[in-house]
Amino acid sequence: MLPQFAEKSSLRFNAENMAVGLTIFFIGLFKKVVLADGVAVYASPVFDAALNGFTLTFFEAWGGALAYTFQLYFDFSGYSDMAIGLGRMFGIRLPLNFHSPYKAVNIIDFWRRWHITLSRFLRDYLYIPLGGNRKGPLRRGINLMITMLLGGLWHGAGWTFVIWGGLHGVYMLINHAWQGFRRLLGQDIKKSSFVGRLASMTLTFTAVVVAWVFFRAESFDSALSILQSMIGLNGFALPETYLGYLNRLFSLGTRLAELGWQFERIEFFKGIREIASLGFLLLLVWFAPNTQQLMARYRPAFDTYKGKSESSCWQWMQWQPRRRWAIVCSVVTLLAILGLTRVSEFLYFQF
Amino acid sequence: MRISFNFSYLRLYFGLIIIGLLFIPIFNFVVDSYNIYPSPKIQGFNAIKPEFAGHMRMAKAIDIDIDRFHPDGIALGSSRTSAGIDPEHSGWNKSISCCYNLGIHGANIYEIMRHFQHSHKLSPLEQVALGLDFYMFNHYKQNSEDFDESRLSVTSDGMPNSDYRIHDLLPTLISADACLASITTIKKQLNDGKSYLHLLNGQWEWSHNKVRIKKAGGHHKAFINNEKSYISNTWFPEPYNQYSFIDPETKSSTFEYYAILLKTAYRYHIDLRIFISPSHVRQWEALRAAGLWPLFEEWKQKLVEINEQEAARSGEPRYPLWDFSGYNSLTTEDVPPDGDSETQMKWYWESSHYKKELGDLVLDRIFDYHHLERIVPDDFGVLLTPKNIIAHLVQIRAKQREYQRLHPEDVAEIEELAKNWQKSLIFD
Repeated sequence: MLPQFAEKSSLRFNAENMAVGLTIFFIGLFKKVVLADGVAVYASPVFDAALNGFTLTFFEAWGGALAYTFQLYFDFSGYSDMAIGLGRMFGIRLPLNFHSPYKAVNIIDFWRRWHITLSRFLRDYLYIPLGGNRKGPLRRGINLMITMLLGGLWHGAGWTFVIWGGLHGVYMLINHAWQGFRRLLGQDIKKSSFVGRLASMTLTFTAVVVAWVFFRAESFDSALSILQSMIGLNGFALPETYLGYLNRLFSLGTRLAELGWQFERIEFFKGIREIASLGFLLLLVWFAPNTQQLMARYRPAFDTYKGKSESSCWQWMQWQPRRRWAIVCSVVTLLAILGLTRVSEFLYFQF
Repeated sequence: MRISFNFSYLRLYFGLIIIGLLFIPIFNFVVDSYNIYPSPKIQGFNAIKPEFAGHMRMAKAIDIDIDRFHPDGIALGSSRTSAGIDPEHSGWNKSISCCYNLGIHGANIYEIMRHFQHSHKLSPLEQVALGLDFYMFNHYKQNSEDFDESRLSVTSDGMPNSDYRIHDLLPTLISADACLASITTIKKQLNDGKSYLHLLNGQWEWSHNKVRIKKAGGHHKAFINNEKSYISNTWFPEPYNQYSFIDPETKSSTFEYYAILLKTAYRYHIDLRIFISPSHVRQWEALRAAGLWPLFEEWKQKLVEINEQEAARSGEPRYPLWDFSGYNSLTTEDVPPDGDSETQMKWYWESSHYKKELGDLVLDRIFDYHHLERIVPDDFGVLLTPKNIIAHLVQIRAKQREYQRLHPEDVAEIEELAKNWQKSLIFD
């Protein structure tokens, strides 16, 4: 990457670099201010409530955990896109940092896609110097755990970060063991069906969400309380109006009420609005092309893993300096600018 | 070829953004959904401002800074003041050039003190009617999300805040929220009761309240909903579900803000009239059932005590402090039975919000104004002094017992609400 700075063509105005850079930058800003900030309203109150000792119900806890999962990704990958875009405006290609991590089919795959620059740093300067996988499976496991625990601590000086790192370390060990087991059975671990991949993606994503609860929670107790709610130990509740709606479906509401579900005013789950937002973002992170793929024709980022930014999306979705893309990108830019400031609202209705 | 492609792309891209950035603020300025810009109000386009209610702190703080207002008389308080106190009542001092209802929904005493400072800084206040509510003095009642110090003309320590006018410019002109608010404003130009509106003088517009009450199932339902909301939230806000005058960490008291307000009023010789809101007796019964009665009595004593202290410090006669709460001939108005959505009450919308008609009687009393067609009952409003406060509290307790004896069904219903709330806390 560094030789680029010595090149004469760098830092000179170039219309193509400017167009590509601006597009990437504003996709990043859009991710940050529209998607991440937009979904944060469902995350923060849930974690704050758990910290203050409030016991959450199933949907409240899942809503908060999923919202944070998306908030963090769009925040961080948005910032990364902005940096890559800014560099590109001046002719500098920066390394890829995110490559649709929630599309990962296992944890090893996740860490090849999430915060790639940090993963590479930890691999090259911690895991490999510790011996990597060269000293047998036991040492590899220990090296992996040390790397992940220190990786956790790198994010913040708190036990919740260490637990988050440790959890990912355990996930990795299980992942390696599972792959070893499949190899023993003579299976080709690179081959998989669509359903198999979808199931692996769901399992990996769930494991990542669980770990994010520790990452976001400000105390071990509040993380545990949220996780207890997520497995249904603190009951199920839906807004009271949903009883009527669900009863239209074969009296489902009454049946659920008989099973102990509560239909009442619930503080931290915003019903269909929240489900729609989270569902939309889930579809986006699972199935939509990422920035690198959209911009594939222009090699947006410095490839650190061969083939990482190769396109897998349809040709028509790839950015080109044409009129329709100018219109789409100006709308994205305007939406990002409009999302930079907000007007606080306080709704107060008595009757 | 590619270079010219890229240049025309950039030209079109920047051109569209520049057009957008010019059009959007002009559009939001013209629609003026928060009623904070001097845009013309065009019937059927933007004359009705349904977004005002949800952004009241910003809208009212800026509203009183508009040249045509700069009020020297204000009605200050919560939504009870906003709903019931008429800034055009004939009892206000004749010398007042402009009077505004600065009642703010759900405001705590700190927010009220800060809006008082803001208003006084913009134009020296001559007369203020201050409506007080018990919930305002709870330390756990945090400042509202839409309260922002930066838009007030004076800082909390009394220093001028020179940047206050630019604070809301960007968000109200160039933001997605402002665009959505403008679209909503244009779409909701029928005053069909679906939006809560406000008059130009800041008072809550009430013309559709009767229909709303009817749709909500009648006054009785509205009373119960209000009492539930007070017990489970207003007096015991989430997440702490507690009431205390004192911050357990700093040991500071919410009465300090009340004292600052009084101190300023005494220093600048503002004609301040203080009153405790005349909510319905069911509200006081809910307060008792929630276990807050001893604190409620302590609150009244502290209001009297601090008023006395500040008066003594300033060498001025103490401000009149009227108590309209309790069990008097108006606050005990019968509530229509459950299921009756037709009967309209004379004085109340629900337990806490009183109608303008009752607000007029409050103003008649505190301004000592005599209206030919209105008679204020003798037991409506007691002037509190250090000498009579204890006897007054004892008298209220006696009237409370009498009310409970005569209205056992109302009392049982409210106690049931409080019990259910306590149970829900245990299960939490």
